[in-house]
Amino acid sequence: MIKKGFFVVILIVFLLLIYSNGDAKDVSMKDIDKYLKANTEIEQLVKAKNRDLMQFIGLNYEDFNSHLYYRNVEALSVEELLIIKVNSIKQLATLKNAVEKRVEDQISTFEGYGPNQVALLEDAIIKTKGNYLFFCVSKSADKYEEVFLNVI
Amino acid sequence: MLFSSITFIYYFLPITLLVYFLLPKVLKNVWLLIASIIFYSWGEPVYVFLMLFSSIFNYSMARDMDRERRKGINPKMTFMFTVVVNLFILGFFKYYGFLMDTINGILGTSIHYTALALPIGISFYTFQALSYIIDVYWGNVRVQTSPIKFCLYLALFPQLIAGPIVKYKDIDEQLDNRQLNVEKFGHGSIRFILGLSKKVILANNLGLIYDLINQLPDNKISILTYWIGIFAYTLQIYFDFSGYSDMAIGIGKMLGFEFMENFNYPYLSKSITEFWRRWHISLSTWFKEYLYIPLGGNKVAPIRHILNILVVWSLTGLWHGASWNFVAWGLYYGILLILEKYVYGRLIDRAPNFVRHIYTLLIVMIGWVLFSSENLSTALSYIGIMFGVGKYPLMNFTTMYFLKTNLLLLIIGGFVATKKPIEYFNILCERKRGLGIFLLLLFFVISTAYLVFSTYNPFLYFRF
Repeated sequence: MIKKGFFVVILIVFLLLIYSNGDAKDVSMKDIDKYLKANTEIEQLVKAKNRDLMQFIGLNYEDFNSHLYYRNVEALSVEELLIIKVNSIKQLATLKNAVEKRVEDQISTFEGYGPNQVALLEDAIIKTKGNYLFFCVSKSADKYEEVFLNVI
Repeated sequence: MLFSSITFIYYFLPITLLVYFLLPKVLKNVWLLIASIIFYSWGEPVYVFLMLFSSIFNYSMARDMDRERRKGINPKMTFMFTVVVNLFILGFFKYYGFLMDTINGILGTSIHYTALALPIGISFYTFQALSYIIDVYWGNVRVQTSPIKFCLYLALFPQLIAGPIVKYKDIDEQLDNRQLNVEKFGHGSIRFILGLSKKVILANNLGLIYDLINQLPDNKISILTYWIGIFAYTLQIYFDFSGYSDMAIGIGKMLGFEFMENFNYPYLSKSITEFWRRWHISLSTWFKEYLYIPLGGNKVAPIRHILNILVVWSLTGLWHGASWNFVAWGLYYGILLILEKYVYGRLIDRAPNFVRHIYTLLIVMIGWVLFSSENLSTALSYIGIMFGVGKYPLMNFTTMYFLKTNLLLLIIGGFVATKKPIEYFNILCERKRGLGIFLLLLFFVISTAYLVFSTYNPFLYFRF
């Protein structure tokens, strides 16, 4: 009986941790953009067009609630920040794998001649919280992540 | 980690196999378990703990049941507790959001909740754990005393995230003794490459057709285009899922395991009853053994039998996803199976074969509309257009465009879904081995090229 109780407690603690960590407020992408502009140097990057999401990440922007995509447009830069709000939580697993593939592809592109780029890519932050996915490759990735997490 | 990814094919699999073959027999299971945990944690660094919890929990409870039985105590309470905890975990991650949406929808409330991401493979490994617990309770298998072997059974990376759902009794012996030889390794490699090619070359390209057709603006939709779309999806889901199963069975063979077959050319079926004996066999047999037969199967009064079928098929639908269209998809098949059994089954048996094939394919294709749609209303709207509801023309320029650009792919897809190509391939390998190997290498190179240059394409069954 004690063993069963032990398993139940472990399970409940795990589920509570997962649940509290996965919780997020319902914030519009416009507000997230505003906070990022106010608290980071995001405007050094360029806001990407809707179709860029398909071109670079292989995702159709119409499949999701909303998104925010900034890129450094210089050919040798790998800096980018992508935040997506999904319609259904089921979409998050697909999204996460898509950005992981993006990182893998970028690493294979820059491997051999772009050690700085590869180092940045290896430190890429991919995080899901509530209905959001956060993906960032940047020297300031931690800062962007901190602001994003504070907003939601 | 995806089977169809460069990381898996060129790094993870070769390293895992190399170390596996170099290690002595006593360490092979330990290494496979470590590799499986790395494989799972690659995409699920947090949920790997849930999978490990499930392994340790089920291992421990099965041992408790065994101890209780030896002491003369009925292990029913421990069994019930274990089943409830397993179903609670599955329900919490898979159905909690669905339940809250349904409550909000019915009551008109807007209760805030956090729907969690579904841990990959949870439906598959939970069902494997349940098969073990039920078989231990029924006395069909000996309890596993080695935690390493039990955790390996649940976590074994080839079938961990999308099946086949391997029943413990089918693999019990293989956890201790399995045959490793060059011939088996070769067969496994061939199976893996063929599965990879099905997924990467056929399924992904067929999927593009369906996606494009689904996104057509209203003025470009036509009846025939929608039929082309669902035909493409019909082939896509088969090559996607059977391709994954081929890869899983192939890797299993390389490691010395023999997993059950999961597909047997389902689109050659001549009735819906036959289709479900050929499609996702490991899931159908799971439901048959652990639910349908315990409910009484067909050895009960017709009314009870009909009820049994409806219960099993509603749950089969729900297993696939927490959404009403999956319930509708399950019930759709439940009702059709009842009709075949009690109403027109004999009529179908007497019909010419081509009529039976067309009947089955039509029903299956309509079923895939329910299955692939975001929700029930989208599915019904798609089906409506397929049958001429609305102002849409029979065909238009868009139809011609899709036919011109994809007809060859659709024909090849249709042909590969039959037995013939693999029969020809086997004959070729027997008569001209060199040419057979060349073809395999060609498939492998083309698949790799697609993986390098294409965008992300997950397996459809990962979401279950």
